[in-house]
Amino acid sequence: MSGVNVPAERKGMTVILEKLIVSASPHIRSSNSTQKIMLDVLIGLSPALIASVILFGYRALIVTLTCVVSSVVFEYLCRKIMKRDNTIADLSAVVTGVLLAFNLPVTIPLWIACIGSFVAIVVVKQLFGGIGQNFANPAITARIVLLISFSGHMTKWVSPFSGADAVTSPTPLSTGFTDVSLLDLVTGVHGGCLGETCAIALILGGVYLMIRRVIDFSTPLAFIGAAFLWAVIFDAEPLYQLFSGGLLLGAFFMATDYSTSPITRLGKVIFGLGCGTVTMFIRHFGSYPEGVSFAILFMNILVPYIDRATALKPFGGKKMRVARDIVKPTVTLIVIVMCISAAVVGTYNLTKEESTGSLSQEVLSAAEEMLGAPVSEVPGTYGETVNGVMTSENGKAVSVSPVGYSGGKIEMLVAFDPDYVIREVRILDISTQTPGIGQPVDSPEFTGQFVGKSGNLTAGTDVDIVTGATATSKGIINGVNAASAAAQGILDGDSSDSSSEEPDTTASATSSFVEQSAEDVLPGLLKDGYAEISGQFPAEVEAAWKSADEMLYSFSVRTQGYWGDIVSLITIHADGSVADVTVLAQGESSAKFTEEPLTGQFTGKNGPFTVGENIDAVAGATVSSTGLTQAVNLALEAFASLAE
Amino acid sequence: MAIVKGKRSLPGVRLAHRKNTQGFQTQAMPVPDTVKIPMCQHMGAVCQPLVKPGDTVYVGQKIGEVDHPRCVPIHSSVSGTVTALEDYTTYSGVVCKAVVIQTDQQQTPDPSVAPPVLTDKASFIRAVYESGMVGLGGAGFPTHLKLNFQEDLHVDALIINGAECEPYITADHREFLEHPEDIVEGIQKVLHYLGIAKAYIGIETNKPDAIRLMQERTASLPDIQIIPLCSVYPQGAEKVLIYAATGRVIEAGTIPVQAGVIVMNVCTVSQLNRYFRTGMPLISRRVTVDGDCIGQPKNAEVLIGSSIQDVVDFCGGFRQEPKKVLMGGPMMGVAVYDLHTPIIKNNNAILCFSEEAARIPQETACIRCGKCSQVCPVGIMPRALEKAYDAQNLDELERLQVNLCLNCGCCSYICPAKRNLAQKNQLAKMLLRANTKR
Ligand code: SF4
Ligand code: SF4
Repeated sequence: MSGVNVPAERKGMTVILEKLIVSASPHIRSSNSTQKIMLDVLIGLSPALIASVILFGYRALIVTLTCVVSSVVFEYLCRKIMKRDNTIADLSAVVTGVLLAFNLPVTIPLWIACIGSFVAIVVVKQLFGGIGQNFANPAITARIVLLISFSGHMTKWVSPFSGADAVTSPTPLSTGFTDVSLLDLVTGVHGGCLGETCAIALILGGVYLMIRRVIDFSTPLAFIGAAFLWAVIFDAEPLYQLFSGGLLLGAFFMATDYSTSPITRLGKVIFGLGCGTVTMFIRHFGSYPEGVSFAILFMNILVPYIDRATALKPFGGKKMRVARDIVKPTVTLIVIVMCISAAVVGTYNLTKEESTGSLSQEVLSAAEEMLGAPVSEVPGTYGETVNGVMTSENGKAVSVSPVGYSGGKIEMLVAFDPDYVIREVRILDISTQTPGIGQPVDSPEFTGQFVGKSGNLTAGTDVDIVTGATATSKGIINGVNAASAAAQGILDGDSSDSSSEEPDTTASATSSFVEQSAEDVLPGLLKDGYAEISGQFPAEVEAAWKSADEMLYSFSVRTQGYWGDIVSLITIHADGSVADVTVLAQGESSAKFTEEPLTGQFTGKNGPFTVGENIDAVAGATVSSTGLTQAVNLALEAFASLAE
Repeated sequence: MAIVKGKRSLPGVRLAHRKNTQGFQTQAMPVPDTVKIPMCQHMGAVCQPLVKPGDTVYVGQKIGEVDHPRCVPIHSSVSGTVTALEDYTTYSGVVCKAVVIQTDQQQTPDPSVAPPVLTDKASFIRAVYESGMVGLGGAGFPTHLKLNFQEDLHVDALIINGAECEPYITADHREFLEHPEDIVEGIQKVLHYLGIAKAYIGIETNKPDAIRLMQERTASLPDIQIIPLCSVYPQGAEKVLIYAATGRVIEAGTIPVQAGVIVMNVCTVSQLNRYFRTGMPLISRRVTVDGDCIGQPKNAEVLIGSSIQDVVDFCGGFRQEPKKVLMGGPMMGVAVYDLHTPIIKNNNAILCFSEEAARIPQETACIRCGKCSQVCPVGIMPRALEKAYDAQNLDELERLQVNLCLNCGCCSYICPAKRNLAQKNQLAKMLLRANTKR
């Protein structure tokens, strides 16, 4: 055994001798690599990326870049901290970033996108050991986490070609395909996540990956096939189902993820069938119109079982031990699938009956929840604001979408008892509106004000407005009023237009209020009887009363505030000092000025009053404070005219 | 005879064929100054040298044998003087003697060399034994053992392996083109003496000239059928070839003869016929010499015991410094560490690669793409096996049936993460064997 050298270097399984390398066969390797596969996936994703930029504007690119850069940075840092070798060169983090971006609406705030990358890369991928080890699809899991945590932002769809001033547009799935043509669906001209709308681009990319043999055709085919079949069975517009939501993106790019899908072809078929079935069950029976993400995540969890159950019988080998390796996992799998389906169907049946109206399942089930009874849609058209009316044994519910701030629509539901008393007001989607300072408009503090009321409601009197969200609050009040009219059968098609911000929109309402109820307030102030008086009063003074003992005089005064008229009742002592200031009606953004801090300043004093001198304006309501001060002065003027 | 296209094929990989030498007529290599003939050139018992230093030997003289059923005699490939009996370790780790012979360049044949007399199966098997024949395709299994199957086994098919699925190697291809008569006659003799009904010659479709020539030569012979095979590696692996040619499945733990099939390499059957004609035992063989370091790639007729260095010198020397030298093909060949390693009976190629061509890329994490399972001809799960081996989980290795692994290397070849899967399987098999022995 001549010429045997001491191994100079030992590197893995290769021993490098002084001269010749000795390693175990095979001595050649194919040219494919993880990096090349990921590059192919990126190429496959590029048509959809281009489509998204065309459809949703340059922000689609910004969102994608944000996701990619943050994913790569997270991967780098994570590997560094975990003291593992650097893997960003394999491009898998880039792929995850692009896929995550494709699952986000284009309006997503970039910091939320970064949180998504963190969830995908750090939590789902690296904490489970990095590429090939994670059991759940990183991008899908991140989407679901974001959807749960930031549902408003995650469901803020915009219509394509609307650019920066995005106009919200529901996804075809949530509207039941009423407003989208098949051509629009295929080309992606509809609302949705930025990468999932353009079916043509996705199919193009998917076919590329199949030709390059990066993915097997079996998963997408089984996925799409199963979805189609169920759509036919459910009679739910099969073609529309295929081209909407994330189905194609999921079928070609997410369900084919190596780490989280089965190895064998039979396994891939089962996996695809499962994904398609669960998707369609969620779409059909669930309250959530899009089911792809949940379906894939759910099937991800079953992959180890599918892999075991579909392990091939080796060529010439023994059959796998049936009991342990095939029967058990298969039974487990079937039981799990049946339990989940039963749970889904069961909840559905408990909460809902079949409905064939134009209202979405989401709205119907919310209405059922509010009324506590199954609802059915009342056919009819109700103008712009009212989407539909549902009736049940416990009363009616009306779906309305009034216009709020800057023309954005608010989706809401109003439920009425059989006697048309408001039972509940629920805001479904307020993502078009900027949030107010403090209390949000969809908080129970605001919407709860409506409960128990009926008839035409007025801002400031019946319902207090939310600070900093006047237009939104008024929009909601208009919506409730429109709903009330629709529920009572008064078809008021144009009620939505009353949300303009002219100061006197509530004038007639307030004056009628004064006529009807000012006298209800009086007895408390003028305890022992009163009489209406008249005189040469300023125009703003609409009515006046004096007490039987002529010690108190009350004046109803209408002055202008910032948003509308202020109707106030000023009561003056016989000696000319102010006894009481009560605001009867106002359209102001702040209810605060009607209360002590302002009204209390007048009592016991003699006028005239000037804001900034002897009256401190309420912060944030200077104009209104001035309006009320003016009312007091006018009342004093009227009182003085009586004395003459 | 109708052309039967090979329809069946087990999975595998498509490799770049690189059959650079397929058009090169075999050239006989000149007799080297010395040869070193190891006493173990087959799977089986190690031979005892029959000569001692100082002895004069002649071409075809038996110089090694042992009284053991699994022995194959070894003959001198040259005439000259024995100078030493060296200790030698084969690359599979067997320790034996090697007879070093100083050649006299005369190539005087041994007087014992004479065509054998064939009368019946026994005399046929005896002749095969005396020819020193082993499987020339690579494994080196003693041919007389393979052919001497028990009478009660109903063997009805002889498959001639001309797939030659490894890249570069064209030794079998040249055999078809240069010795079609020997092949046909050899087959007929085997069929005749062993009572086998039919022979199938499997040739990969990347050798259309060989397929055409053999079809012409066998057109009038109903008991020999040419089977064109898909050019998919490892089409030449025994189990894979049997399946492709006959559709029969060799169950784990059984040998082909139990399924009624015998597989012989094309060079083996042809060389046997030359022995029956001339009586000269196996002393030389065709070796494909190729690789990016070889000056003039060739098909060389090499005397057994010539060193790799001698062969390379005959083929124009090294064009650049080799970093890896293989005996056999790039998928299953063995890397040698010493250029003085002698050529033995079952070496069909010498491939010399530069550093660049020999570089094995860095292993990265498995991405679970499943390609290793997809290409595995026997359908086991290399990725799961690697995990099981790393965990030294013997039960799991057994459950996943690592023993079925052909060591074909498809899994390692295809893996995008460059995992050393086939290599791990070899280690796993050794681990299992070591543990079952205990
Ligand atoms: S596991 Fe064995 S038989 Fe299968 S591809 Fe790898 S080396 Fe070949
Ligand atoms: S081919 Fe390599 S990367 Fe793919 S599953 Fe097998 S071991 Fe993993």
